[in-house]
Amino acid sequence: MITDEELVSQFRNGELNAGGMLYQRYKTEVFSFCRRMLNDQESAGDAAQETFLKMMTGIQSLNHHIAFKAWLFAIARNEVLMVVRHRKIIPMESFHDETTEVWDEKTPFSITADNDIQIILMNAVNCLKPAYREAVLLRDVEQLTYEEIAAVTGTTVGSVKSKLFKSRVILNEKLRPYFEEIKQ
Amino acid sequence: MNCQTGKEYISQLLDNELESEFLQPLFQHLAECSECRSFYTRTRSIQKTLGHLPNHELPELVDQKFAVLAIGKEKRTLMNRKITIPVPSAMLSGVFVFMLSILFVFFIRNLQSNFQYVDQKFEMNYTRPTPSTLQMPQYN
Repeated sequence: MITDEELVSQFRNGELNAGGMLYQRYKTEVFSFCRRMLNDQESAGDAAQETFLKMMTGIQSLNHHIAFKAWLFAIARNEVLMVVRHRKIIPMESFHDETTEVWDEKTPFSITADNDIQIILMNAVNCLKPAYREAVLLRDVEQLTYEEIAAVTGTTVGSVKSKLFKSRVILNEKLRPYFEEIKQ
Repeated sequence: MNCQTGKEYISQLLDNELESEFLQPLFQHLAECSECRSFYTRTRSIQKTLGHLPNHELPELVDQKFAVLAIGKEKRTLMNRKITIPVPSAMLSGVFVFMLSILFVFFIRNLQSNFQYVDQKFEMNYTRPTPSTLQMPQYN
């Protein structure tokens, strides 16, 4: 299989098809990330579309020391922030907030009647403050490394470790009954 | 090691980001602390479940916009199709074609000499008609 780096190189040399292959490879992941961050199909579609347009036009600015996937998710994250800024879905400051609560009780969390563990878990992840939610999604869903997450979010590796740790503690606490049930 | 540090290390361990020097103290703590063992098990289950979440499909309308830009949909015809061949296979094919062409030339030359031989034999066996042997037509 052709690596991302090879496709990026081909795309830079004017092969549109290589850009198309990169788009096909990441369209679902990028859209899913936007969808999970924004909880809104239409806004996520807009953010994903802008992400790929910027990927197509800005590929020349990609540094060789940054993995393509991390660079793409950094663009997607910025687009999510733009949507948030324009539509005021989530308060902007909550993306940079590391001092306040990890859990946001205001977000709907109705899991009592739901037996699907994936839905229960996603509802719980949606209750995390955006700064923590994005760390969990980038690590556990998109499988990025700490360095890549730090590059995507513009923070340090230490901050990423801390956010993941706090998120996991609170998810553990909130999901204790459901995951103990599974274990039995 | 206290439970706070233990859980921090567990979080890093599950991400394969824990430095090896902390493994021994962590395992020692896990052997003694049931709360941290439960934390490890639950966090691993949560991580596994998150890793298997189904993706959301990109809306068709957005996907079509990129198709309009002729991105991602390659129009392949027989004439613009690219084929990649590994170098060793390409070299072997070249040698094979070269040897085949030598054999072909050899075969053609051999064929030519055979024809010449047949011609010579024919020349030897064939007696050309001379004027004396020719039957002239008689007219009344």
